[in-house]
Amino acid sequence: MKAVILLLTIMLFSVGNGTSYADSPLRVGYLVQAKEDLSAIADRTGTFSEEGLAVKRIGYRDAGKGIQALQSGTIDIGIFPARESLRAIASGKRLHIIAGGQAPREVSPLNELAEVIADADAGTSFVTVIRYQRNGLAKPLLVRFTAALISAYRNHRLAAVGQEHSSQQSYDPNPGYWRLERIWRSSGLQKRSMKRDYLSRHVYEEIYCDALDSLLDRSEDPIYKELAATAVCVPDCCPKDKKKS
Amino acid sequence: MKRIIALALLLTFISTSVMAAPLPKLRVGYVPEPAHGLYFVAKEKGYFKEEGVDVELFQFGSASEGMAALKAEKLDIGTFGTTAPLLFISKGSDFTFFGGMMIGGQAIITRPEKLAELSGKDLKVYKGKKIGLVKLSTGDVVFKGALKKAGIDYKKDLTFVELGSAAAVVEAVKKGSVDAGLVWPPHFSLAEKNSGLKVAHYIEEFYPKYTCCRIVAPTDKLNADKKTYKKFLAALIRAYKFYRTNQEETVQIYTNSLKIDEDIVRNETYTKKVAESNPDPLRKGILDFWQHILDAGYIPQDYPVDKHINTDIYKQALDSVIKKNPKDKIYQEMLTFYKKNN
Repeated sequence: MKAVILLLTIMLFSVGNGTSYADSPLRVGYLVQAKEDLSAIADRTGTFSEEGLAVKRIGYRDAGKGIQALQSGTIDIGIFPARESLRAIASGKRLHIIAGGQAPREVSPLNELAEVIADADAGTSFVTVIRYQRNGLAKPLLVRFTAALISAYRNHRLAAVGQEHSSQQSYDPNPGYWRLERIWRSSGLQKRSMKRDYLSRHVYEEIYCDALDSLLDRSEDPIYKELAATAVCVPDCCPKDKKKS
Repeated sequence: MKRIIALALLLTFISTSVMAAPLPKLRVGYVPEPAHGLYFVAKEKGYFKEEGVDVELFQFGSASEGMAALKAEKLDIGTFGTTAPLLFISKGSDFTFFGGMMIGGQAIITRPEKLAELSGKDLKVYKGKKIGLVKLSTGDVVFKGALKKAGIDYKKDLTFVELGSAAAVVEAVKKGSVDAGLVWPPHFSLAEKNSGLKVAHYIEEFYPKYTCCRIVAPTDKLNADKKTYKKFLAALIRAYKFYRTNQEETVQIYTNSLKIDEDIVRNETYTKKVAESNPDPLRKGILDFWQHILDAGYIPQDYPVDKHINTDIYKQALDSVIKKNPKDKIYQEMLTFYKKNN
């Protein structure tokens, strides 16, 4: 009997084969006209360095061009509007959403009609996207990148304390599958020919969950705990040292 | 005469070919918990092969990794709790529950000085208390279900502290940042042995026969080869009988397979019987579990999970075993249990 399946899980749980990016910075695309995104805050507050990552940010004026750059391998990761990213996924582009970015401000309870919320979501949500490829970024690297975005979110929250017009509600590092599913459905992106799990196959929430876990292991920070309370993660069953990543 | 010899040779060839035909294979994933031991019993005692299926077991370090392997079709069967398959199904993955592996097993641990305060047979002792847990773990879901059944508004009357792992829950109880914690095997036994903590209650005391650790398969595979999956379950049904009737050997098999302290395995499996290894699919329990997840607000929308539960294959497997052993009391008990819970 085989006790542990090593090769299988290593192959499966790496998005690619673990290409080394130690010598070259991660190329992260963003939309220049968008407000300062989480990658910019991570850059400014040093959370990429804390995670041992070198990052080069590359601005795009158009989300479509940014997604195209991601597709062609000009950039490794993109932080782009959810609507455009989901449309690209629906059109068959092999993209995976690994984290959030920006989220809409809380909608007034008076307007909590599904379509109003979905419209607000679609208009202002940003997500962190990668291109799926066999020789792409390894999972541990993506976990560290996402951890840096979460720490950036925390730094932004702490800096915003006491500010009258805090914009903290407009950031959310959680990919938020159910929010994306709402946009997906209300935008009519689910086609008859698609399997029911088409979207979930393109939202890789485990990266976010693992990133949050790794931060909580290091610090019982109330902001991380708050994020964990809203995340929907598969509970960890087993001792940490048995995990592969 | 030549024709007869040729025919005899042909028959010999055919029968040899049939005998040498490889058994259908099933790749089965699991996480290392004592109550998953029926797999090892069935393997060790040769039940899988006797039933006509070649089972390869793969251990995973986390339920999410296991579920991803199942989704990527690297596995034919997965045993990764109840929450994980339900989450995947609710998001569109086409998996079907068709068997079970573990019933019960969740415990509430506390510090010795708190034990008196939390004693008794009423869940009201937990009102006003701070409880550490791993969000969406079986303990979290069924404890909230038990509180609801007892008429306690857990969102108002208790405080829950979500932690990242069972080890973190044990640590929080130990240092007093929570009054009690919800953990699963073998963590509470380890907490008693290594940290001096005490089990205040097993959740089963308030919520009998709740589900834990279901067996799932990709629906298309299951439907395409029900015979093989039936053989797989028949082997587990026989393993269950072995587990019921051969305690010492079962403890040895579990211990050797999972590399867990033998005393802990014996204690959890037979002395205190904190969890039961049982292959019944427990359909009603799965539906209850899903409802508790919805009630807790973890998933924003309902989904007809009943479409993803197949109890027929288990029933056919049980019938086939009973047919060969019509007077066996344990198999008859399993049939009664099946009728009650499915």
